[in-house]
Amino acid sequence: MHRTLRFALVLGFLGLVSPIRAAETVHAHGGKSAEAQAQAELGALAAFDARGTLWAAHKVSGHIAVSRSEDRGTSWLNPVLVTPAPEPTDTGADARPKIALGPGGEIYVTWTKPLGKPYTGEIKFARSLDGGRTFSTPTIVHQDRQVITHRFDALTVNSQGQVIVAWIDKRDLVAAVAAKGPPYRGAAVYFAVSDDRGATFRGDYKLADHSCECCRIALVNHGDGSVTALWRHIFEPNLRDHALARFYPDGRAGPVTRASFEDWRIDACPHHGPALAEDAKGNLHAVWLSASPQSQGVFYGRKLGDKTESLRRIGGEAAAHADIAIAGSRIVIAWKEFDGEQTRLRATDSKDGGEHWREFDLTSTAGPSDHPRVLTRGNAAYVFWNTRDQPLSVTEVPQ
Amino acid sequence: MTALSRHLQPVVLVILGLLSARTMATPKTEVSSFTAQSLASIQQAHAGRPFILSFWSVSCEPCRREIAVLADLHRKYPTVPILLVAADPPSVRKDVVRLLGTFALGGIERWQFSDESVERLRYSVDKRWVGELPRTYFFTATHERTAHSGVVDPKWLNDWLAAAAESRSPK
Repeated sequence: MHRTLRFALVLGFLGLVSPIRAAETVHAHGGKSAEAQAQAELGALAAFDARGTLWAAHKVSGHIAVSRSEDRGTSWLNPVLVTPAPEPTDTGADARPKIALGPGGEIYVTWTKPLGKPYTGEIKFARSLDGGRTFSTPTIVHQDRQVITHRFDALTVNSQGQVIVAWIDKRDLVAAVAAKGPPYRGAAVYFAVSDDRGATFRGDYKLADHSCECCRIALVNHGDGSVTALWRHIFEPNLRDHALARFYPDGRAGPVTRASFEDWRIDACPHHGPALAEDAKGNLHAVWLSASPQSQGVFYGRKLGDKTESLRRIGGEAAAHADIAIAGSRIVIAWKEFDGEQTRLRATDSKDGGEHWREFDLTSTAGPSDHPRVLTRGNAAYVFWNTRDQPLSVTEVPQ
Repeated sequence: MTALSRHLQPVVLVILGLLSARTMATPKTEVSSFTAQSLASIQQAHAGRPFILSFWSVSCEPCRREIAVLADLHRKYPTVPILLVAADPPSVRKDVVRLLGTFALGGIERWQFSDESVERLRYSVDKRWVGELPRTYFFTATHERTAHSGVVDPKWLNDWLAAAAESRSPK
């Protein structure tokens, strides 16, 4: 009795310290704190290395961590912490840690760390040169150190082994406001390049003005070391459709081309960026979301650019957060779709360049989940999906 | 019992002190947890009356303009309930409270997504809502609703609130 009463009073005491603490403390004693944390911390990505080892970047007890699997995600070895201390990361729906692998076994990781003011952040980077045993002290990728938006990092290693990071950046908006000039639409896409396996980055190079402020950027590598980016753009006056542009490791950027045409006029954050892949012939394939009144849903398109063709609606009206990859000669798309009870992980593939499609219902979960990511290895395709109930799950898309 | 009381007295005093300090310092800033059942209970609580349900997020910059407009017009039409729901996970409660604290929200109700999956929470409101923010629902007195994505035109909002306030005034 005595002990119970005292415990109850201590709980009450903790709960009353502040309204903010109150909620968290109640959760902690109700056993829900870990779950609450988990939902914000489910953001994860994975990649295969040349030997077939699967590497995942994710959050563990608040730290950025990297785990590896030698059996395509059936089991995972103990995570290695990338950040020595817990690291706050962007909680936006399209934010998650990124991982990419270098030709010499390098492991590169980036993430967005929020700063003191709302919507601000910096892009952090760490690498491992010893096969994932240890990671370097995190550095900041961009030269610009204003407390403004540098968020939604996208990471790739190009065909020359250079590390390339692109992100959403608001320095031009801030400058336009300071200059009391004409209003600046949205944000901009910038990138930086490392020629020394991530020891240093040079940049910041601007890829495009007037991107949407809150959606992920998709990148694909070309054989010559250049990279194409696809992102949600703000075309005048407020059309949040997609644009693409090619850029080069020396900092040059090609023209911005419109790539989707739903005419979604909206002053809002869709929190829903596109995905992009390139086939062996050099054709670009993409998936994206629009919620314009006349074209609502997830769409697939190929030969992106002025002649984007073969538009196909993916999944039902609740389809969301699709990803796309090319496995040999197969186009593979995965997405998630809530059916009223469960979040279903679904996939579709085409073996004839997008003419005919098969559909698969891969798995489902009742709890919170991250966005799916399609991974390929030769002709095989897998969907990596981090869920609260099945962390770092990997499901093969039948061949 | 006496020993117990003596032992607990300081704790009780501290609790009472904190309780009164909290009540005085932060009136009406409670953030309620929005679950998959919340919309039904909200509609029940506002049965027969118009209201506005507006979703936003700490990571959505246009939402800031929307909240500012809603707060302004709520002062003009205080009889029409407005509910703000942060579509952010419970782990960022601190950021939600901090951002809301920068607005004079008056009697606007504050809610935040629970730890259920965001798909389930969105579906419980509207299965066609794919997550764009701000997302605002205008409920008439009979709870027919209009959904709007993006920042609402302040003039349209003013007119809607004026009509809603009129429908609520005694005949």
